[in-house]
Amino acid sequence: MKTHQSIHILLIILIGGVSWLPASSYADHPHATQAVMEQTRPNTNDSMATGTEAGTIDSTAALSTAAGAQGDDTEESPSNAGGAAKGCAAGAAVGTALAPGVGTVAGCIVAGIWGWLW
Amino acid sequence: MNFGARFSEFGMTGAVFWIAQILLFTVGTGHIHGADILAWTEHYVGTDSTQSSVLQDATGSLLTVFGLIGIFVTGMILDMIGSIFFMQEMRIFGRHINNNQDWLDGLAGQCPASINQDYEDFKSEFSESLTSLKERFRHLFDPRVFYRRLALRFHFRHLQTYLLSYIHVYSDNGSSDQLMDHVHVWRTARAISMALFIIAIEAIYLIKDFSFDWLFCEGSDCTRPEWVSMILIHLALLGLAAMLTLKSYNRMCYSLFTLACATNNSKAP
Repeated sequence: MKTHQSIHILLIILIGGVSWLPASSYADHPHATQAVMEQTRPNTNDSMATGTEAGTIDSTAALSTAAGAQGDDTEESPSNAGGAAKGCAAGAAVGTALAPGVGTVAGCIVAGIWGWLW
Repeated sequence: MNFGARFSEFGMTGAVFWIAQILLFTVGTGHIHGADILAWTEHYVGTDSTQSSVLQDATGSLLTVFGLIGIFVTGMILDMIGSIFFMQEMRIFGRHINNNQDWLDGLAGQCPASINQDYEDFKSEFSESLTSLKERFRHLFDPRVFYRRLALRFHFRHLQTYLLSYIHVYSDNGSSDQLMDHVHVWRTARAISMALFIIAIEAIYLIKDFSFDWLFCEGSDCTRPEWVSMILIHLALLGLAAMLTLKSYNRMCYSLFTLACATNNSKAP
């Protein structure tokens, strides 16, 4: 295998890694996102109004709940469209910067699949 | 190394990176509040009011020094990473090579064989007269073109360094201030655009609750999906990053090739 082909494969793995890291650690599923939105918004307002740390603590709890919800939902349905979309966007950005056209398509597909799976 | 100039460059780019990170995590996502950062600093560094004033001053100075060094190192790392848009920089350089090949042919002919070969390879790869619009579009989606151009990255560095050295050695005034200014502006802009690129990637994953209500709530449809805001911020940051790098590089290329041409003319009998 030629050197530049090896570099391309490494880049693809790197792009996939970019999509994998946050997609697996953050709530992507619609149900989980809804849980975050419902619980985070009022607490953030309270926190801004009172200046206490209550909002931050509750937000963290909401994220934990959302992460739990994601885990439960993932068991029921393997769909991870949010992860795939984010992976596609990140991969397309890196791919476009390196090689507009072929890099955009390849980055979106590879990182999108990676985001979907993880 | 001109330490003062490098310090200001690296300091500025590092500061831009960290300011953008703080803005992203506070204003952009709301994950962290400004008060949390101050509380964290007081807790771990010991600048709270229970300490004596002498210790507070010493700790504050130490924290300032650590911050400055951290910002400087961040700027240096951003500079070392280089440009993620280097393929586009090569394309711009190739366009300038094509525009100046009438006098560059003679200059490259006098050079050692390796530089001459690099020049010929670069010229043939980026020769715009050989490709129609249809072929250029096909090139966009042809991986072989990408591999071929990627293999030319060392030729690109070699030729660029050769032209800078040529001006430095043969120009009567050495390297001109104008060219050096443009080189430094390009390097700084490249580091800043790298910071913006990192923020743009982070924005995909972190910005979830930023709906631009003030912009979209004109009519009855006041609800927009959050990804619209996220994509807008992402694209804006990417566009700004690309523009900063490529505009400054193009300007540097104009100075580089013009000065090289003038130096070449002044050498001619």
